[in-house]
Amino acid sequence: MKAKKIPYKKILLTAVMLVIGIVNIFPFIFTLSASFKPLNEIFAYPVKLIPETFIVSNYRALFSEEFSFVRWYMNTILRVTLTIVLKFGVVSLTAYAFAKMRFRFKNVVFLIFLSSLMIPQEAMIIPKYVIFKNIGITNTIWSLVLPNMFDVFFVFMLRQFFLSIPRDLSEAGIIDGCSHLKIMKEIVLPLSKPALITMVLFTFIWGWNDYMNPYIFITDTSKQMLSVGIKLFQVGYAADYGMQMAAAVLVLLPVLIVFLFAQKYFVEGVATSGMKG
Amino acid sequence: MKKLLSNLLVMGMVLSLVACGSPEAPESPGATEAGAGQQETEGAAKETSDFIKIRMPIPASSVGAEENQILKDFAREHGYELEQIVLPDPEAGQPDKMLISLMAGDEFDVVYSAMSNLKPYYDAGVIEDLGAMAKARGDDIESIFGDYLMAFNDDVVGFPNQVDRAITMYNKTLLEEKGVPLPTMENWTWDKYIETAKQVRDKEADIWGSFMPTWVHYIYMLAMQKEVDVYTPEGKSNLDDPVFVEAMEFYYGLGNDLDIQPNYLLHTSKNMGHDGFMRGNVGMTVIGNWALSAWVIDLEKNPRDFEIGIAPMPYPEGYQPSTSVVVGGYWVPTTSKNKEASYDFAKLLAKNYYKLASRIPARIDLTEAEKSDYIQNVFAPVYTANDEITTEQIMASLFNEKTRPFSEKPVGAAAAEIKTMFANESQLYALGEASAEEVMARIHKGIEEAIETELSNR
Amino acid sequence: MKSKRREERQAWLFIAPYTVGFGVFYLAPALISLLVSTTNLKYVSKFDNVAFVGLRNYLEMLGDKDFWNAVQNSLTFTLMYVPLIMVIGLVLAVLINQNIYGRNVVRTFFFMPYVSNMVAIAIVWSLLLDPMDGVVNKLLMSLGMTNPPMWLMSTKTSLLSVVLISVWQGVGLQFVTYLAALQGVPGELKEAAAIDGANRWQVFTHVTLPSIAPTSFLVLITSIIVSFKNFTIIQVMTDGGPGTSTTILPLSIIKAGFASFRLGYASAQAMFLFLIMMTVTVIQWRGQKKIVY
Repeated sequence: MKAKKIPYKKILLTAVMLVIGIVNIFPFIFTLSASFKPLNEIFAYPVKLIPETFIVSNYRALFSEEFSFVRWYMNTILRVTLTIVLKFGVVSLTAYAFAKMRFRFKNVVFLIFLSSLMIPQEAMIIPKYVIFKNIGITNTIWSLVLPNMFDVFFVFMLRQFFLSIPRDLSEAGIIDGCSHLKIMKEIVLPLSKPALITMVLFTFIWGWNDYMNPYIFITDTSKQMLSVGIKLFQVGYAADYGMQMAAAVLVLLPVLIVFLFAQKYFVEGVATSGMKG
Repeated sequence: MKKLLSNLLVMGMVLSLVACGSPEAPESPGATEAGAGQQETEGAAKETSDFIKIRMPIPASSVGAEENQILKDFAREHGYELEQIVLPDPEAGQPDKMLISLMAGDEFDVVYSAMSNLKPYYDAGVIEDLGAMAKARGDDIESIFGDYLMAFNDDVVGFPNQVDRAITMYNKTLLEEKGVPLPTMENWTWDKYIETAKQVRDKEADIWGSFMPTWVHYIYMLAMQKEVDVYTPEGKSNLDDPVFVEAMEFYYGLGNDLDIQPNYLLHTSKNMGHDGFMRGNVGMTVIGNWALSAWVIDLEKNPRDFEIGIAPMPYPEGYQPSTSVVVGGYWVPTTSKNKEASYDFAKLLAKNYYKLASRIPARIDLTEAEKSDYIQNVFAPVYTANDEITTEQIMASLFNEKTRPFSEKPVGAAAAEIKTMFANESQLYALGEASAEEVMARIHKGIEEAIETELSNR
Repeated sequence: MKSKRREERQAWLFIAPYTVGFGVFYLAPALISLLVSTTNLKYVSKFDNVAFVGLRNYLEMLGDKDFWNAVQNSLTFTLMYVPLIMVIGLVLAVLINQNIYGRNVVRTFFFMPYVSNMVAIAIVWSLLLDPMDGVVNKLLMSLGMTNPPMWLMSTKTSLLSVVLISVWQGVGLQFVTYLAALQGVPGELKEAAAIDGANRWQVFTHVTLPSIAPTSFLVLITSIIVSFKNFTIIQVMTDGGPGTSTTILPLSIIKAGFASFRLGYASAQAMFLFLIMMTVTVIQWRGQKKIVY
């Protein structure tokens, strides 16, 4: 009988990585713990992660009548959902055309699209506002959804992925007399699941975290998004850290939960689809 | 040429839309949003069909203030339905949402601003010329508001609703506990303020003698009190006057050298805000009298376990007592769909606001009797109700005719740049990374250039 | 021949919705910005004062100290950010690629900052980096450092601080990208090298690194672009201060456009930034063809 060898090296390495990892997410742990603490404990050192006086008043304050926290949640969820659904169609059609179809000026058009990735958005705030105003979408959720639908980044990413799908597969479809729409639906899209999931997840995260666009394009508090909404707590009276931490937790939580459940797809998506710009 | 360009710009913007308008149409103005909006207005319309609707933005920081309801009720009494739209307060370096909205044509009817923040709106041409409207109606607004009228180059742009004057606010309980003499109504100089603060300061117990927010205008406040203006008579930068260096050293010195109030580093890294005084461990603060109505009256919203007293704003020894003043008021954006009604409402509210919110009137048409009746029987009782502040204090700090008023912030050329330059550059002195002379020289140069650019672009 | 024309028509139909949207939401604003950069436009609502000024904004820009300060800050930011994020990303990927327990959990820990809202998390960082009471400095002092850095509150360390926070936030993506590349390195190659007597370091430098070169190149380019473009972290942490020590190009554009209301001048700066990014992208296209095997 041979004694089972204890894998010291593996255990040590795991421990080291775990420590680095926990240090890395310390800001999150700190936020969570501080959101349940009274102000004087937040600054205490050494940091006690379990609050000595455990309070929930920070959260209760957020859900008071003065702020439409729940409303902002709903708005943000609606926004990302709409964006994902609409973007899915528009972007995958476009990417498919660029990857699998032949047409004149294809490369020129693609390059023009791509160059818009490089333009600093902050310089275009005013022109955008005037345009949005003229189409009548300012102060509506569409001012956030529509521009996002035409995301160049994912056209680029999906195109790369579609290109990697062997031509024989799609070509076979053409010989069979399939239309391009059918090839896309039945051959290309099913094969591109990782890339599509990546698109969905990243659209979710970026939409959820977007600050500048709702700040500029949404006026009414009742139509506001969460990320701007929580900033409304930070003005006026002297920093109420506990409440701000609680607000931060409420903003971060949904994203982190989605991420935890979908992290396998995230990583696979990034790995296989080349989330590389 | 100009016309051509403006047409081109508008055309460029519009063309892109016309070209793409139709395919967008089926999915644009969202079913859900628009539907919800309609329902709301319909519901409201049934109830308030006779009321004139007024859209008025309010800053997020004022959400929950009692005043919002008071204004709504007042509007209702006079046949208006006041709709308050909460906008996030723009932070330093962030685009001003309000201005962008107005430039693009979003509709608002009446807006409140302090005079010192009004310049960009005026330059952007989004303010209705109330003077012209008054003339057309034969309305003598001069006789009501006089010099308080908010105006640029003789264009009347707003109706003043109140005057805000800086005062000293002190924690009576703390000062008495420490056995320190209370601030006086006469001869209340900065030297005495500092002396008092020194006696209150207790490092061990975390007690501060003084607390002032990190607002930009404190940096040049002393220069103004010494009767030196930010602009030269020709409208150029006057910041090379050595008194500005002195003023900056004075303000930051309160924290950095004298240690009587939290220094800049502590203040910013702890995010102490502007209402540190209300925490109860601070002896005195110098702040506008808006703070009085915001903090003192409503004990339920601002609970405290100490008594408050007030005194005039301190002044430099050897000069006439002075106090910084901010006029605020209402204006009508050019985007308003109902300008006549908005004019009426803005004027009505401006005339009556001081009574509604217990503030200092910005009117010249009140007779001496009316004025003293207001002060004695309306204003003073509100603030003396808790038996802390006395009528004598109120008279000496807020209604002293011998005090020289000066504008808290410059309102002339490049006012926006002056604010940013001071905010950015003064940090370096406050953090001890550059001398006051260096910093002020840089600010002076920056402002000179900004004024020049502004004039050359006219 | 017929089918070719049909395909062409179909292709245009496929990209039509996108092209329309692109025209409205990206191309039109961009062209307007370009046009505006040759004017002295301040307020879109007031056209009577507007005039074409030709290249005056661009000339002014070239002589503007604050603009060059912003360019320099952007470059310094990039020079610190890019090597840091690449090395840390690679090292983490190599370590996790070893045989360890709970790889998924650890992987999650490193990816988490990337998905989080920086506006929400900024406040925690300013608490942690507080020069006097922050956890970081208290820790440094208890380790014996007598004069710990002032982090965000000093011009000497402010840029470094925001770089570190940006790396912390962004490294997750680069790390996962590297991890995928590492898992794609053929085991036989490494084994062959090991049999030839190479030690682990030699295997790493001679086999692993060259095999993941294309990935490194992509990470390099994306990091450069991100470092020039992203500003949210800086805006919420320091707003460009103290002084102008963390004012990078995008922030300088915002300040010119919305603090001084000089839209023409802001647009000129934006075009400059656009040129930098285009250059980097062109290098990428060229380089990709050479490096990809």
